[in-house]
Amino acid sequence: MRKIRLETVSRIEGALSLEIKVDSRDNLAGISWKTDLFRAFESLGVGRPLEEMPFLTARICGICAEAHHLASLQAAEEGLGISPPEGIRKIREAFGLISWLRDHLTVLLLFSGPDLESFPSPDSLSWLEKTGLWDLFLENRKHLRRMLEIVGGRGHLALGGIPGGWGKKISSEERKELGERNERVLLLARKTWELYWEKTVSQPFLWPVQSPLVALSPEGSEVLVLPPGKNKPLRFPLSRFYETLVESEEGSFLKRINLPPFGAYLVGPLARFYLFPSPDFPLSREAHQALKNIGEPDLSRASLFRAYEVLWAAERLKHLLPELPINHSLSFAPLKPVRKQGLGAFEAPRGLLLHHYTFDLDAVIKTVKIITPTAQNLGVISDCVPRFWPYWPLTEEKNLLFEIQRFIRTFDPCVPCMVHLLRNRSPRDSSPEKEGQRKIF
Amino acid sequence: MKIAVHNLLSCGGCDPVFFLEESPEFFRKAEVIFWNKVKDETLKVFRKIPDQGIEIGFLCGAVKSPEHEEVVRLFRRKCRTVVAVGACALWGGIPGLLWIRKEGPRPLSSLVVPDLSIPGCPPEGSTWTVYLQGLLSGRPPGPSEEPVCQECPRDRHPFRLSDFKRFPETEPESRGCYLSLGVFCAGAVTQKGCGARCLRAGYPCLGCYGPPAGLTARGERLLSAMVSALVPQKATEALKNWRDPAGSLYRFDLATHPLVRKGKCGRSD
Repeated sequence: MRKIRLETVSRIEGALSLEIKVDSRDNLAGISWKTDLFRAFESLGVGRPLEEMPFLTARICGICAEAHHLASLQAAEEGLGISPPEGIRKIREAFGLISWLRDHLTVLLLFSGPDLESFPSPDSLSWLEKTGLWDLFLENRKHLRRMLEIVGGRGHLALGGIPGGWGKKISSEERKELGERNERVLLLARKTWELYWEKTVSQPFLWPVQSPLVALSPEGSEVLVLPPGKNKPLRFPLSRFYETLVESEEGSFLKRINLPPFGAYLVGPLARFYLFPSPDFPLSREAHQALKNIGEPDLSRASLFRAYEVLWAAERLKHLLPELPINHSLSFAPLKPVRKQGLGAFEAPRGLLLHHYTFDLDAVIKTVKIITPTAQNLGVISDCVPRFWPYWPLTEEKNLLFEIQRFIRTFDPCVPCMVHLLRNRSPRDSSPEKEGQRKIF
Repeated sequence: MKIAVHNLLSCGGCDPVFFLEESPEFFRKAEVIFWNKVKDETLKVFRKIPDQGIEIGFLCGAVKSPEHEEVVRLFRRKCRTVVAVGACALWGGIPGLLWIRKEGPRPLSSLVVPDLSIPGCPPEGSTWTVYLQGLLSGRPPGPSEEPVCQECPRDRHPFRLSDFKRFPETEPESRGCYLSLGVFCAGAVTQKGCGARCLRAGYPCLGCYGPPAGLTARGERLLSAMVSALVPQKATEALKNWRDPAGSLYRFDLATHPLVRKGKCGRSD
């Protein structure tokens, strides 16, 4: 039995280390991963005022802060029994789309880009320089930050959302500025799609998906589940889907989330592609058609679906911006819960994100549960590693580690988002095994 | 210029703002030796770098595990200048609220003395620029003595209170200072520099830039100001109804509170 250790899985959000056990015949005997990023947001939310949750939970993740903000707002509003007006919904949608664009473009051009090259891959900066997209990428990070600032009030870990309303007003000049900046984003979106298409489409299929695909329906009230080999998705009301989920802990530090009777399931860009309708916008419709023709879902092409979503989000935003209300009037929801709990769901860049809170009659939090996309995808990662193991270069350790990291990166995992995935343990009373390690299969 | 960047216990949100958005020119000129968001190097490689071999090391996040402690000490040894970035690194940040349950992270300044501390959750781009330009020109800035109120667009006037309020209980279009409306706005006990972003987006200041220079016991001072404004007959009732005192007063810096340092912080606060 030999052990292969990887101190840090690089080019992902957060720090994650791996230990792989291989027997004398090169069979995989076990894999464990470890992180010390546990920040217990589910625990520290207890006792806090409900209206602060959108702000607090945005601090869960510096990359998809806006997704947590929006899911949290929805959970709060469900408990308070209110529904924001149409104009506010549009502002929130724009806010979500801008954050999608920033997240996806960063993942595609900084994290997973070098994975398009064969081993040994260059670092992200050299790769980006080579593609000629470095300057445009940096320019667009600035545009997207300014766009978030216009819509949400802060360019990073933005806020804006208040239960029942939206605190940042948008002037007509600002709306015009949003449109101008989005044109530049659209240019980068197109170039990113073209680059990924050119580099990916001719590659062989490596990692076919054998798990159900899951996504929130576009109108947000249902969850769509597409079992393997089926063409028509099953539809679950959101609350029923949430109640159906089963967590297994089995004495481990990491939790695994299953959807009975299917078990592990996949969320994210690839799932959304097969569950969402074809778009109405010219560039993304063309890209959608091209993707439809390449065949069955395959994880090795997950980034291509992410690149398609960048195109779609920029076009959708272009369409949406003229509809944003100018200098809307502010409104706050009365802090009188009509229910004892609230469930919020949002299609975050990485996939379905769920926030569930219970609270008292004064709208003070009693319990918090946050199910992130990474938590949901963990089961698929666990199931896939042994399946794909024989196809990886087992005799060359560096190459093997590169392939495993490349595989993990296709899920775009977010370690800070593992708020629910990890259970808190006191550093004082836990051994390293208890603290963060668990065999994932 | 050789630089290293690392996130400890953090959301990972501080570093991209500066390097990718605010000052890409600095980033392009720098030689990134270690930053696992863009490079495949591991800490194993970082350990082999000669002591003081890196000019600037940026550390984001708080410290909770022995591994975090090792990295902080390693950065201090390998980097000529250590820059602590963000509320988590400076004061424990939001996860510091876990100290209510007697178990939370510590700021990295509890282990080493950083050469520069950049405040905020996250630091605004302009804050990054001011601090880093100061550092590069040999005059690293410290915290401002002035509070967020200096940047706040809301109207200030003398006030008396009959009750404390949560901000959604106020009139949404009101332009008055949140304190005068009975809301625990942390602006008066928080250093300026953020441009009062949250206040311009409808929220009260939640205090992420930390205390102004020279101000100690910021939470107690805020409490004192609010209680002093209460009509005496209503004070008992107002304090009884007040929810989340620790969160209202020390949202980002509970980990640095003397009661936490002495191990006396618990749910009964």
